[in-house]
Amino acid sequence: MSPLLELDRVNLSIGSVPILTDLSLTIRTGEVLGLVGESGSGKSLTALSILRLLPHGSRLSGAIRLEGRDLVGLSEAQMCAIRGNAISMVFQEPMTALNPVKTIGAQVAESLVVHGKEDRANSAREAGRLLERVGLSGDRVSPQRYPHELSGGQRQRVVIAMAMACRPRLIIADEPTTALDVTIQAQILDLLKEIVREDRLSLLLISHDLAVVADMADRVMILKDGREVESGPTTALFRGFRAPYSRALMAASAHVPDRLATRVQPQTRNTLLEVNRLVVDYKLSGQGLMAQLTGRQGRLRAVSDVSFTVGAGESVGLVGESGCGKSTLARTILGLQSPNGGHIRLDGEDPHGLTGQALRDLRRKVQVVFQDPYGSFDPRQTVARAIAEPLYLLPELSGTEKRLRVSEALVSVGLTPKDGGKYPHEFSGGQRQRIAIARALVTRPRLIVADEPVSALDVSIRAQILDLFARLQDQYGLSYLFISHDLSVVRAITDTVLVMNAGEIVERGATGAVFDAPQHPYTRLLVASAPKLDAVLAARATREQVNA
Amino acid sequence: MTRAHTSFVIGAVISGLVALSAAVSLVWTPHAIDTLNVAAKLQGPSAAHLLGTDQYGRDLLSMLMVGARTSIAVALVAVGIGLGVGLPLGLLAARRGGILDEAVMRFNDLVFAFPALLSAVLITALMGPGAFNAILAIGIFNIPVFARVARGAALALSSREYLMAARVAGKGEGRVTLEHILPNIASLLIVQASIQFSLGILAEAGLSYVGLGAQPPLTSWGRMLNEAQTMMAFAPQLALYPGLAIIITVIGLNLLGDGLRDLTDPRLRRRTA
Repeated sequence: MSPLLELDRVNLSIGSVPILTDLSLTIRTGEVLGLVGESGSGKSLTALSILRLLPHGSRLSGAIRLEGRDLVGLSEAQMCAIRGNAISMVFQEPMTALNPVKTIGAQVAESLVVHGKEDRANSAREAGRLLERVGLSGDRVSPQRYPHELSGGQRQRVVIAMAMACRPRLIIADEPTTALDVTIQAQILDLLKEIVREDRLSLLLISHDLAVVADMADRVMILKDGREVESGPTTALFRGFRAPYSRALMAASAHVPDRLATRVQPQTRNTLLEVNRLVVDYKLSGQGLMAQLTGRQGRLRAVSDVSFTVGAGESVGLVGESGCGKSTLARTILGLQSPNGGHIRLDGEDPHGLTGQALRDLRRKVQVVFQDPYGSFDPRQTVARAIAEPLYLLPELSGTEKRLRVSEALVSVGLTPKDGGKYPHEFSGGQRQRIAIARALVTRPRLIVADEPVSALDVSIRAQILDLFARLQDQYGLSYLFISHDLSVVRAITDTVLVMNAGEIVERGATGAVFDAPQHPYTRLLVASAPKLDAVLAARATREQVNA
Repeated sequence: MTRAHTSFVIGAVISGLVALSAAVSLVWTPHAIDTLNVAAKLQGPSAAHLLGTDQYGRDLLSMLMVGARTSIAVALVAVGIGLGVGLPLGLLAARRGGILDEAVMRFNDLVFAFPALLSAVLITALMGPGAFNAILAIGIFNIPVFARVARGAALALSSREYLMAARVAGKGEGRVTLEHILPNIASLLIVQASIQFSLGILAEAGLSYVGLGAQPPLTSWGRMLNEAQTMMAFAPQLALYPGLAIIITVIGLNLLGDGLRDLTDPRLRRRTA
C-alpha cells in the first residue's frame, strides 16, 4: 500500500539554527503514527512543516509528499487549499484555538464554506451533524453556544469537529490532551480512536506522554534534537528499545526517587500542619456595580469542610482535577486567602490569627513552589534577588548572612552561587524549577507546598526534580504538601494521599493503597483514566494476539 | 548597533538638542525676543539672523529657542500631573478591585469624555488664559490615560505566580506593587509618557494657536504658528520653522521612548548586548 504522507529527508532550519535533520517518515491510510519527544525535539515543527505554517526565516528542504504530490514546492494559495481540507490539525490549547466571538456552530461551518464543501445554508446543518458526531448533541450543547460557555473537554471536541469538517485524510494532533484533566483526556483519546477507525483517517499524534502514544499509535517514532532516534511498530518498539535515549526516556517516565522518609513509621511523627473543617468561599465575579453595592453576590464554595494533617517529615499528596479547589486550599494554607470557616494550625499556631513579627515567624516555616517555571519569577529580578525575597521574613539577618543563605540555597539545588547574578530567562525550565525550590528553601522552612511543581517539565527533567525533592526532604527533614493532577508523580513522592473532588476530600490513605485499591467512585475513575504504560502495552499485546 | 540602540541614540540626540537649546535660552539667545525692530522685519536667513526674522523683526532662531522652553515645560509638567495622579489611581484600582476600581474607572471615563481643548476652554473661562492653565488642562487630560495604562498592565500581571511568591514571603500588597508590578509595567509607562509628552507639545501648540495657551510676551511654538498664520501668503517660513520644530521633537521623543523601553527590559537587553 502506498503511503498517504511521506517525509523524505526533510531538513529544516530557522535562521542559522538547525531544527530537523534528515527526517524521514511515512503514514499509511488509516494508520496512527505517534511522534514522541521532549521539548525542543522538533515534533511540533515537524507538524508545522507538513502544513507549511513555519515562522519567518525558515528554510525547508527535502520532500513532503501527500499521496505522491510534493508539498514543499507548492504556492501559498495551493497550500491553503490543502490545509484544513486534506490535512487538518488539532491544537493543544482548545481555548486559544477557537475564536471567542463566534458561536461553535459558525466556526465549524466556516471551514466547510471556506473549502467550498457546502453552501451557507447547508453548512449550518452539516456543522450540527459534525458536533453531534463528536459528542456535542444539539439538545445538550447547542451550536449557538460560544467557546467560553464550554468546558475544556467540550472545546477540544469542537476543535476536533472543525478538523473533521472537510473529511481530511490526515489529522495532525499536537498534544491534543495535554491541557486537559485525565478523565477528560481519556474521553478525547477515545473519540480520536473512534474517528480514525470509522472514517479510515490517518492520524499523526504528537505527544510527550509515552503511555498516551503507546495506547493510540500503530507505529511510534522517537525524536531528539530534530533527528529520528528510532521508530517501529508500537508493541515491538516498546518491547525492546535499541537506542539508549529511548531507554532513558522510558526509565525517566517511570522514575521513583529513593527516599529515606518512607522508612519512618507514621505514628512517630509530630503533627506539623493541621487543617480542621476548613471552608473557603469565593465571591462570584462578573457582576455589576449594583450587585457589589448591595452585597448581593453569588458565592462559590471552593473548599468544603476539609480536614487533614501533615506530620513533620511527611510527604502528603493532594490529587484532583482542575477546579476541584486544591489550589485554593494551598493558598489558604499559605495565608494568602482567608478561610470562611474552620481553622489551620501550623506548628500549633493559626496563620490567620497572627500579625506582625509572630506572623513572619510562622510564615518562614512554610514556603511554596509553583507550577510554571516561567511565570513564577519576576523577569526584572536577578536570580539572587528572587531567592532572597523570602528573607524579608528574617529581618534580623545581616546582608552578608542573607547572601550566604542564597548561595547555600543555590548549591543545595545543584546550581552554583555564580548563577545568582543571572536573570531567570537565561535558565531552562528545569533549572528554573531548581531556582524556585532554592527560593522556597532559603528561609529553612518546615513545610513546602508544591503546587504542580513538575507538571510543566519534560520527563527526564521531571525525574531529576523529583530526586531533588526527595534528597532535600531527607537532608532537611522537610514536609511536603504535594499538589498534582498526575497520579504517577504523586505516587512517586508521597506517603499519604488526599483525593479531592468538588471542594471535598473524597478519599484518603497511604498512597500505594489508595491507588491500588481505590474505594470512592471518583478515585476509581481517576485511577482508571490515568494512562499507564504497562497496562496499555499488555492490553495491546493481547489484542494483537487475538487478531493474529 | 542594534535597532533598540539606534532609535534610543537618535531619539536621545534630538530630544537632547531641543532640551539643550531650551536651557541655553534661559541665559542667552542670539537676539532678545522682546524688542521689536520693524526695520528688520521678514528678513531671510543671514549671518546675523540664521533663520531670518518675523513680521516684527524678531530673530526666529531666538524665538524657537524660547518657544522650546515653554513647550517642553508645559508638556513635562502635564505628563508629571498625569503620571503622578493617574499611575497611583490605576494601580490602586487594579490591586483593590471592587467598588474602588469601579469608582476610579468611572471617574476616568468622566474626565476622558471632555477633550483637552474643551477642558482648556473651561479652565480658561474660569481662570483666564495662560501657560499655567494650559498645563493644568493638558495634565488633567493625561490622568485617565495613565490610570488606564497602569490598571490594564497591572491586571495582566495580577495572576503571575511571582506576585504570589512575594506574598508568601510576607510582603504586603503595597510592597508587592512597588517592587514587582511597577518595574514590570515601567516599560509601558515610559512609552506612554513619551507619547503623552509629544501629545502635550502638540496640545500646547494647539491651545496657544487658538489663544488659550502662552500669552505675549511669552512665546511658544504654538504661539508662533498663531502669529504666522496671517503672514502665510507671503512669509510661509514663519509657520514652517515652528512646525518643523514640533515634528522633529515629537519624532525624537517617540524614538527615545521606544529605545528606552527596549533597553530597560533585561530580556531584550541581553539579546541586544
